[in-house]
Amino acid sequence: MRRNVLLRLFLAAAVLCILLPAAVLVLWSAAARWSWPSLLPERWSARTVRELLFGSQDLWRLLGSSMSLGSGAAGLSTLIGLLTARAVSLYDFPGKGLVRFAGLLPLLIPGTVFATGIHLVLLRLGLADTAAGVLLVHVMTALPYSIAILTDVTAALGGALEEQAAVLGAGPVRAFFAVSLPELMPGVLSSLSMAFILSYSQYFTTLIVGGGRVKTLALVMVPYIQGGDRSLASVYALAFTGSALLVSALFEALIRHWQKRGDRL
Amino acid sequence: MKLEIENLSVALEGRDILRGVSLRMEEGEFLSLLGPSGCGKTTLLKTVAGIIAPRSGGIRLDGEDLTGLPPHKRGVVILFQDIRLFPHMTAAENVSFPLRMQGAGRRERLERAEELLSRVRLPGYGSRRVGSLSGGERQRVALARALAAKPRLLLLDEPFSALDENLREDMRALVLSLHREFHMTTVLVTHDREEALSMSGRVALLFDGAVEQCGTPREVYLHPATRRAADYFGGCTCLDGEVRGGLFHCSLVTLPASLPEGRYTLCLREQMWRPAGNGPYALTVKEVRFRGPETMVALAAEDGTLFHKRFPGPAPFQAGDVLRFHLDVGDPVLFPREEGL
Repeated sequence: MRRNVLLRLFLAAAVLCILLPAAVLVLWSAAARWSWPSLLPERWSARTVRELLFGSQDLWRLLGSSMSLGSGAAGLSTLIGLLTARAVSLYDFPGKGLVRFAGLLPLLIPGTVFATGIHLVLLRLGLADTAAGVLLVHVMTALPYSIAILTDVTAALGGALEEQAAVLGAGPVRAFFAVSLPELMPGVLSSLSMAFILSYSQYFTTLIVGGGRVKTLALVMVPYIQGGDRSLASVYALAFTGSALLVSALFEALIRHWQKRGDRL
Repeated sequence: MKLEIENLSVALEGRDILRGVSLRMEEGEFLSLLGPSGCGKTTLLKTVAGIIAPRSGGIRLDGEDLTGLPPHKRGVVILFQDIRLFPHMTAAENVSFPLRMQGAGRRERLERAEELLSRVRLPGYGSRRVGSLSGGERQRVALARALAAKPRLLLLDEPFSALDENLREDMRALVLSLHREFHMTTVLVTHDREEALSMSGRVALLFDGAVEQCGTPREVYLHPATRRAADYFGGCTCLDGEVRGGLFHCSLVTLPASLPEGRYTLCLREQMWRPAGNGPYALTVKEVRFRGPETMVALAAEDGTLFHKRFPGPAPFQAGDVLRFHLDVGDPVLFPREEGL
């Protein structure tokens, strides 16, 4: 009983911590005038929504490029993460420790250093200022998280079920898809969401590597925040959070659907 | 199918696990692979199934060399000790998994799964989730799944050890009746001596990665090839002595033995001691341990040699009692004395 009360208190606090700031964002984005010490805005306006939807920036194109970059980075990072996780947890090979460490290396290097360095490399490769270059950098940023998440779940599952599937007549690829992948799905979902949100919120790397030609929602949003127009910053923040949540929900729905369809009888 | 394992050696992480194992099995035979844990039993199964690659040696099934084939093409199914049902599938989906791999249609798979589930006495369990099954039920679903694959060779890796004692007897009977019905060549890995002796046509004793002895349960129990083999079945006491002039002499008995002269060890099993009021051997009761259906009594001979003998029910003895016995050695089990043991 006591535990239950504590749990509820904790939940309420957590909800407040998320919902209260979000509510402030909603208020700010609809406020025309809101000065101290008023508890609520004194005048309301739909200016920010008009600006967001029909303003100088093409919102749909921004959303499109951010979401495709994010989804691409999420997919690639999860795929590479899954392969790395399998290599590291199910096989023995020389240099295994190094691979594991190298996978986490991007976490250890400060973002600005990483961005400047990788920009030089991409310039040489002719990938600077291109969407492909930005995608590559986003994948590299997300990869350590994907590897960490997927290595945990892969190691926990182990190779036992695939061994069983193999002796029952399943080839290696089939054994993985029929038996291991469904068990790994929660980890895959975490990795997808994590990688997506990391890519979606990249500002500095996108700016440096994309050279301003690759535009994302985060890239456009930051100047508004820095520029001091709180109402406009708020409405962008809401659009950003909302769209990110939408994609996460979409990932989850897709995976649920796949699990339900399964390859059942 | 006829299985031939020849001189099979396996090393894992630089350690020799199997050292030149050779075994032959006839079509439809039920063989138990018996040995202490760590002797390489499971490794042998996994190597035959293709999960572990051997360092050298050959595995043939009906004359076909298996060594180059991947596991899914061997037709060798292992029923693992830890059951390994696929958790996201129902019982019927698990059972029909091998059929799906063989490309059978949906209808056929469903029918066959239901049929096999009935065979393992789980009719109507098809739609049950794996998580809702008890340990014994899971083991039976796994057995049905293994049978669904129509294996050329069925390998059972300690399939009963995870079950409660009362369920174990049920499962053993089920496995034996299914073996009689499907008549597939079967290897049972176990460290349970009674299980091996009572279930199989032949028993192979595996010690330290090599076959110590292979024969019918009677041969292996009554005529152990080595002292280690004799010791493994328990209930035996070894007496050192020597053979001179066609007789084996030791502190307790003298027996006829047509063996070359030399130092030998006589292996006495507990059932050779027959209680009799006028018996020539007086043994002193050292310890009495009541174990339900039987009582284990430690007995000491005059020279201090200790014997253990089981008496049915609650035996009315106390430490210090002196009992008299006959000793019926029958066909004596004698080994050349192994130095250092």
